[in-house]
Amino acid sequence: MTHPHILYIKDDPSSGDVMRMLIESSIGANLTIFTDRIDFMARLRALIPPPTLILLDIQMLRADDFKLVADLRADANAAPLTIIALTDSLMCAEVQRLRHAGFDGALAKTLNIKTFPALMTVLLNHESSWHLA
Amino acid sequence: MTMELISTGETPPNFFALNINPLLDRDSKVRGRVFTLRDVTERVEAEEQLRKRSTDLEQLNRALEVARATAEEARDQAQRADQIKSQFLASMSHELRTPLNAILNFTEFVSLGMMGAVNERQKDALEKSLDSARHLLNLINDVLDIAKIESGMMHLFVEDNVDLTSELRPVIAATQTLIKDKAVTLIQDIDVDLPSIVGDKRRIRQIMLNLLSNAAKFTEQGSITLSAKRRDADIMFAVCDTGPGIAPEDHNLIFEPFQQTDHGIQHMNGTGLGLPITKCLVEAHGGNFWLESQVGEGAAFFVTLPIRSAALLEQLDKVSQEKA
Repeated sequence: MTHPHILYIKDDPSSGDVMRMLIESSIGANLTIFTDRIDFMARLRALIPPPTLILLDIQMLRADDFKLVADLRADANAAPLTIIALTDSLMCAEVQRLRHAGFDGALAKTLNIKTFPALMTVLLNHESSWHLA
Repeated sequence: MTMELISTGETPPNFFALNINPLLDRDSKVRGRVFTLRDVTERVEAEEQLRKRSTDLEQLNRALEVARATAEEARDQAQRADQIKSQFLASMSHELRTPLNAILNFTEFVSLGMMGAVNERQKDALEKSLDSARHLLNLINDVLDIAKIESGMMHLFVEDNVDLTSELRPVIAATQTLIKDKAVTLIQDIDVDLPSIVGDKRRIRQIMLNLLSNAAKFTEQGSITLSAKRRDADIMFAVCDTGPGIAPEDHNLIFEPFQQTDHGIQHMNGTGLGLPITKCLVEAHGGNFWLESQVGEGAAFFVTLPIRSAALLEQLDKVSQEKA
C-alpha cells in the first residue's frame, strides 16, 4: 500500500519540523515541504508521486497566498487537489474569504496531536473540513 | 430715463425710483418733462434680502462641500484604520501563536516519548511546561478576542445543528480536571433531549468553558452545578457555584474588560477578559447573559441562546448562497 503524499507550504522554520513530526508519527504519509513559493507550479508538477493534499500555511490577508490557490485551481492537474489553509488567526470573515478563494478547509493552530490523525484521514478522503479549534 | 435715488437723513434709507419722460405735443415736439417718483423701498429691500440669501446659500453650499469632503476623508481614514487593525490583529495573532504552537507541539512530542524515552520526573516537568504554554495561549487568545470585539471584527462561524451535548462533553472533562485537587463536585443537570441549535460551536464551547473554569477557579469547596435546559425557543444554561459570591455593586464591573473583583485580583490568575468576551459571544448569538449572586452565597451565571436565531439563520443562508 502506498503512503499518501502531502505537500506542506510553510512560512516559518519551526512549523515544518512540527508538521513532519505530526504527519510521520501519526499517519505515516510522505511529506514534502516547500519553504517558499518561487516557481511553485513547476516544482509541484515535478513532484512524483503528485500530492493528494496541500497544506498551505498562510498568514491572513496576504495576497500571494490567495493568488497561489487561484493558480492551483486554474491548473487542470492541480485543480482536483484538496487544499487546506493552516492559520494562526482564523476569523469568520476570513473563513468566507478562504472559501471564495478556493480552499477546501482550514485548520486553526495550535494543532492538537491527539485529534490530528483523524483529521488527516478526513482530509485525505477529499472531504472539506473547517476545523477552527 | 429711469434712475433710483436714496433719500437722505433716514435710517434705514428709503429707495425711490425716478422716471423722467418727455411731454410731447401733437407734433411730437417736447413741451416739457413728466417726473414720476415711486417708493421702491420694499422692492429694493426684497432684492437685497434675495442677494443676501443667495450669498448665504453659496456659503452653505461651500460649507456642505467642505463637510462632504471631510466626511469622505474620515470614512477613508476609518476604512484604512479598519484595514490596519485587521492586519495588526492577523499579524499579532500569527507572531504570538506561531512560536507557541512550536513550543506546545514539541513539548508534547517529548512528553509523549515520541523523541525518546522520558522518565517520570522529566514527564512531570514537561507537563508543567505544557500547562504554562496552554495558559499563555489562552491569555493570548483572550487578548486577541477582546481586540477583535473592540474593533468590531468578532464574527461567528455559524453552523446549523450544533449538538450541545457533544460540545459540552469536552468542557465538562476540562472542568473535572480543574477541580480534581479540590473538595468540589461537578453536578450535571442536562436535558437528555437537548435540541441542536444554530450557532458557532467553537464559541459556544468557549462560553461554557469560561463560565465553568471561572467557577472552578473561585470555588474551593462545595459544588459547581451545570444545567442546560430547553426554555421555549431558547436553551438556558446555568453555572452555579458555592464560591465566595460577588457583591451586587460588582455585578456590572465584571462584565467590563480588564476589570476584576477583589477576589479576582487575589487569585492573580487571568486577565479579567473571560466574562466580557463571554457576554459579547452570547449577545452575538442573540442570547442573554446575566448573574445572580450575593457575597457568601456563591454565584449563578445564566446564559440563554436561541435555538434557531433568525439573524444567524439569515447569515447561514447568505453563506449557502455564496457557496452555490
